[in-house]
Amino acid sequence: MGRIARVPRPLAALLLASLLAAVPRSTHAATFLETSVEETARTSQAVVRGVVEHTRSRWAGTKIMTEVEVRVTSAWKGQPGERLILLVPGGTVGDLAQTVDAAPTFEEGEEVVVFAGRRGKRTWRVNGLALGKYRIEGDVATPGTADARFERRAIAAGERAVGRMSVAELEERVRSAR
Amino acid sequence: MSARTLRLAAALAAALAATGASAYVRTTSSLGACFYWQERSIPFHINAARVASSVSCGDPAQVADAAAIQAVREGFREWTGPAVQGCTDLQLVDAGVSTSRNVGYDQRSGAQNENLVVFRAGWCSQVAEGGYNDPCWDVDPFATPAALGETCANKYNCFEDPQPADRATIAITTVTHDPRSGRIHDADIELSDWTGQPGPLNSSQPPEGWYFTCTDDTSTQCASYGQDACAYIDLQSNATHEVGHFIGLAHPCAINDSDCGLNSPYRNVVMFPSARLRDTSKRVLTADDREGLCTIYPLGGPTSTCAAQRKSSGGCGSTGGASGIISALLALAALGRRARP
Repeated sequence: MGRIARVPRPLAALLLASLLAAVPRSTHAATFLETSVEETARTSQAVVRGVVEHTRSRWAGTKIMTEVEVRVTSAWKGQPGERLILLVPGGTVGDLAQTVDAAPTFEEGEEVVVFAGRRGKRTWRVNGLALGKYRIEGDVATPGTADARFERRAIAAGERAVGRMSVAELEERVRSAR
Repeated sequence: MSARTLRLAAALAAALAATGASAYVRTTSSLGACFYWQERSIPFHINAARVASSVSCGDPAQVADAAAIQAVREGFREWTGPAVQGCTDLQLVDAGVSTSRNVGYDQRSGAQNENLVVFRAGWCSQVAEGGYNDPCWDVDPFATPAALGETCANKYNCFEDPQPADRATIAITTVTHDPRSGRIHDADIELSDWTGQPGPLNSSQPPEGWYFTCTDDTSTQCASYGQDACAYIDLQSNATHEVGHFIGLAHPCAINDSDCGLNSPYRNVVMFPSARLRDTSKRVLTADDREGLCTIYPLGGPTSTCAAQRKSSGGCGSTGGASGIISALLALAALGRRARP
C-alpha cells in the first residue's frame, strides 16, 4: 500500500481552486450599484435575525412567487413581531421553476439576517432584493449577492459595502446605522 | 531543475490553468442542472417604448430611441456574430419590436410567450399615482390572473421597488426553466430606465431611474440626468452581459471570493461580476466568453447538458468546469508521483 502524501498548503489551496472551478454554480444575474450595509439598514423598517420555517411557491399569473415564513430570534431594528411573512419573486412549482436573478432565495431551516419593510396589507418584502438577505453559517454572514454583478462606486466613509463579514460586525453596523 | 521541482511546477501550472484558461461557468437550477436552450434559433423581442433617453441613446431625429434599441440588439449580436460563427450555430433572432410588458411565463396551452427586453420607466414608488399608497401595491398576485395587470409594474410600466434599497438594481433577468433538466423555456430582461425628470446622479438610489448612455467617449462621467457628452451606465455593455445569462452562462467568480477582486484573472471577461461606471469594455466577448458559448452550443454538435444532482457525472459534461477537473487530476497525478517512495 502506498503512502499518502502530505500536501503543502499553497498547493492544496490551488488544488481546491481547481476543483471549485469544476463545479457549476447557481447564480443571480442582476446588476446592482454597489451599496453599503448602513444604507440598506437605514432604509429598512426592520432588520431581523431568524430561522426560515416554511417556504411555499405559487403561480401568480405569469410569475412564480414564494412566501417565506421567518421565525424571529432577534430584532436588530424595528419591532416586527415574532414572525415575518416575506413575499419574494421566483420559486419552483411542479415541473417549472423561475429564477428572478436579483431576488434572494431561502431554504427551510436556514438561519438568516433579513433587511425588510412592509408593503401592501399583509406581507413584508426584502429590502434591496438579494442585497437584503444574509445567510448565517457559524459566525459568518454571507449576503445573497454572492453571484450578483456590481457597478462599483465609492462608499461613504466608515461604511462597508454589502459583502461577507462576521455576524458581530453585521449586527454592529446595522445597530449603529443612522 | 530537479525532477521533483518539475513535477511541482506541473501541478501548479495545471491548477492555475483551471482558474485562468477556462473561467466560464454555467448557470444551474436549484437542483444543479445546467441551463440551456433546446432550440438553436431563439427569438427575442424588444419593447422599444422609452419615456426618455440620454442624447447618446436617442435618435438624432427624435423619432425613436434608435441608438438604445440598437445597443440592445448589438448585445445579442455579439453572441452570434462573425467572431463566433466558426464554433457555434446558436442564433439569437431579432423578432422585432413588441408592445408587450408582460414578464414571466404564461403556461396556458397555446399561449404566446416572448423572450422580452423591456425598459421600465422609473421606480413604481415615484411613478405610481399614489406613490407607496397606490392601490397597485395591495394587489394580491395570487388572486386571479387578471389581477396581475393591476400590479404596479404592469399598470405603470415602472420598475417595482417595494423597498427603497431595491433602487440599487440596474437590470434583472427572469428565467423560466425546468429545474430537473435545466432547459430554458423563457427569459426576459428588465432594465430600470430613466423617467426623463432632471436631478443629480450622485445617489445610490437615483430617484428617477438609471441613466443609460450609449457613447464611445467615456472621458467624462455624467453628473446629472439629461447631461450630454458624458457617459454613465453603458447600455450595450450591460445588455451584452445580460444576454450571456440569457443563453445560460453565469459569472466566472463570486464577488466575495478571493479570485474575484481587483487582480482577478477574469476581470476582462464579459461575464465578470463587477464593472465600473462608464465601462464599455464588456461590449466585446473575450476568448473565455466564446469558449463558454461554443461549448454549450457547438457548431453541428449536440447541446451540452447536465442533469440534476447526477453524482456520477460530477456536473456539466464538457464545460470549463471539466477542464478544471482535468487540471486538478493532473495536479493530483504529479503529487501522487511525488508521494511514491
